[in-house]
Amino acid sequence: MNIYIQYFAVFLMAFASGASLVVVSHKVQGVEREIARAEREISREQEAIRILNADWAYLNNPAYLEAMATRYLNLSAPKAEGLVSDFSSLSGNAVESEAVPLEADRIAVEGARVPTAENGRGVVPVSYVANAHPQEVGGR
Amino acid sequence: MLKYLRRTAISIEGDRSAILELARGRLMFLGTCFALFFTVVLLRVIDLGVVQGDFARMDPVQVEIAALKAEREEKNKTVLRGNVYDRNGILLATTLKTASLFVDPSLVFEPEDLSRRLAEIFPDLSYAKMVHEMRQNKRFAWIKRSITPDQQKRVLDLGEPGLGFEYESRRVYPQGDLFAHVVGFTDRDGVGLSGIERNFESQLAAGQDVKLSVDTRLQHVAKREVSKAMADFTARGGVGIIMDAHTGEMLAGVSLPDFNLNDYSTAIDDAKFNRLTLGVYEMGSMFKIFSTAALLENFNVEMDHTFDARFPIKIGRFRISDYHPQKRMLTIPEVFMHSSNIGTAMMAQTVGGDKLRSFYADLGLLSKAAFDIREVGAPIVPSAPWSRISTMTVSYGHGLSTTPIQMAGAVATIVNGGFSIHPTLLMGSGGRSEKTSLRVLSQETSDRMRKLLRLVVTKGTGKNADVPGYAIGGKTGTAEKSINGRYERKKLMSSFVGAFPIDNPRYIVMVMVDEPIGNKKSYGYATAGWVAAPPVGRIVTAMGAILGMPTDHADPAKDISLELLPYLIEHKEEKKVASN
Repeated sequence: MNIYIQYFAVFLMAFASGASLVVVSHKVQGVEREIARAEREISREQEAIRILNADWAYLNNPAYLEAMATRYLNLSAPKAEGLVSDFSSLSGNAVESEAVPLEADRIAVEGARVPTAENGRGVVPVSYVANAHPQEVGGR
Repeated sequence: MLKYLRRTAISIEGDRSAILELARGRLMFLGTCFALFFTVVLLRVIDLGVVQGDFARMDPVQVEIAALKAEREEKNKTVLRGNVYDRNGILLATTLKTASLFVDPSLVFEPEDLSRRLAEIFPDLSYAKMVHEMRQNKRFAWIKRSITPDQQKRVLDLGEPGLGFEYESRRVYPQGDLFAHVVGFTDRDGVGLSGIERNFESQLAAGQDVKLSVDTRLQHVAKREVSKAMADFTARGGVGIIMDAHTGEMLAGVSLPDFNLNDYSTAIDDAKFNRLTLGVYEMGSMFKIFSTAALLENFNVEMDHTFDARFPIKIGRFRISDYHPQKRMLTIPEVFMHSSNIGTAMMAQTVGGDKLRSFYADLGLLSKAAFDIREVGAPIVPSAPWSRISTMTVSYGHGLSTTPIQMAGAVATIVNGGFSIHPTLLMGSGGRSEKTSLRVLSQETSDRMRKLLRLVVTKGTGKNADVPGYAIGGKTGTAEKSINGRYERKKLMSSFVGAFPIDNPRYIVMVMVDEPIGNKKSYGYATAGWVAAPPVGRIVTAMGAILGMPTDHADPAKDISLELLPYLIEHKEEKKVASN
């Protein structure tokens, strides 16, 4: 009896080790394929990042930005007289402009849709009020 | 009897069983060995699969070991060339992988059709040449190198098996022509040929990035204003420098004409010449800054010390006269603000050739500068000891040539309190500390020079550089160019060097215009006051806005140049007339 058990035990161990070897080897191959695929993707993404960085730097070229600003934003270089860092140096003769309150129910522009607290996310058409600068009204 | 039988049985069995026992023992032994072996294998497999598998991934030691291994592998791969950045991290040079298109003629069956379709995608390629290449009996021929991703996609859409791509690295300069002489370019193999690319070849090739002190925005401003001055006055070249007065860091370095780094093969030689560092020029009246400083530093003179500028100086066959002769006695501030050659030559005579020479040497004007790029010119200096005539001409900037960058650096030393600085293109390598920097002139001389420089802008030849809000002090210089040993009256080098804010200068701004021609607005004049001073003023205005420098619309009555008014004879005359 003993001998048969021994034989069986040995056979069992041999089979188990062989089987687990095969399984582990298979898993390893799968993982290695995954790694290779991930590495290829990483290097592709890194190259894309490099290209995008170069593109970003190219779009930030000051001559290009200046041309765009002049053409589309109608901006020009600032003049020295217009640069002020300290408001106390300004004379007190500035005209008081009409302060326009920012609450939605006070400001009104014809046709503008302003969400109010009452109707939550709803929109309510409002009527025009003189002197309110249309572009200053909220409504993003 | 039984005992005997058993003994005999055993003994009989013993005889055979001894052999059997032996055999059985050996089998047992072998079996155990195998069993042990398989146990070890089994345990090892379990170890690898379970213990080192999922559990090990969470173990920090194991993770670190894996990371180190990956790093070592990374280093063994070919290193990508380092990038070049400006001081704010804007990319100036980088390497991108581009595809290069080739054809395998043996796989092409319709060369005409393929060439026609390729000619549509690449309009700069010759149809006939491509057909010829495809008819050859070889396996490989380039069609076009470094194509854009867009072109690559169109080629792929052709679906032609005979075409293929090779991936190559190509150096790309996103700022185009803005930093042509500073950054420099590389050849096809990625080796630097000029500028930073060349001087920092080893660092860049090892994959390390280089961060420069230049500011892209200020570079653009400088280029814009120098270009405008060149266009307004039909000049053939120009230089623009913005330098930090304390650290020597270059914030902008422009040499015009320039070229596009991405396309340097089309550049003309004049465009490739680096006027900033390689060109040596006689600086003209800008040198009066240094002669005046030499006098103030070496002699205990008061500002009302006078010089006789009534008559031109005749020495040998030479004649030194003033451009705007005042024909009277001039005090030191008046000599400076009216840019009198006669007065300055006399100052230099007082100082003496030896002292003047060593002062200039301390300011770094005489020897070839060690700079961050290799294209550096050597100053042309009269040999020591300086003769009397040399001393005098050198004092107003003739007979001695130096590079614009050394000029700017020397002015920085004068206005920053007297500390010698090293012009540099790299970030963070400056940094003047009170202990390590060499003091070239005293704080008092530096202060007096600042007042004189401010006077030039408030009352002197540099009025067109004045900018409200940023008090600029500076000096004009209109130098006749020396061509073939003769001074050409019509060929001028008009320059202005300014420092601001003059109360405590942070930046030096210098503009030089090569061979300007007067226009209607300047009444035909091409002197520095008309040509080079206005661009400096415009550059300073833009710098203030870009860098967010606080303006100082100070009371004009507190201007430091007013402290010199008591020393101006003409001012006393004015007061006399006014009070009468």
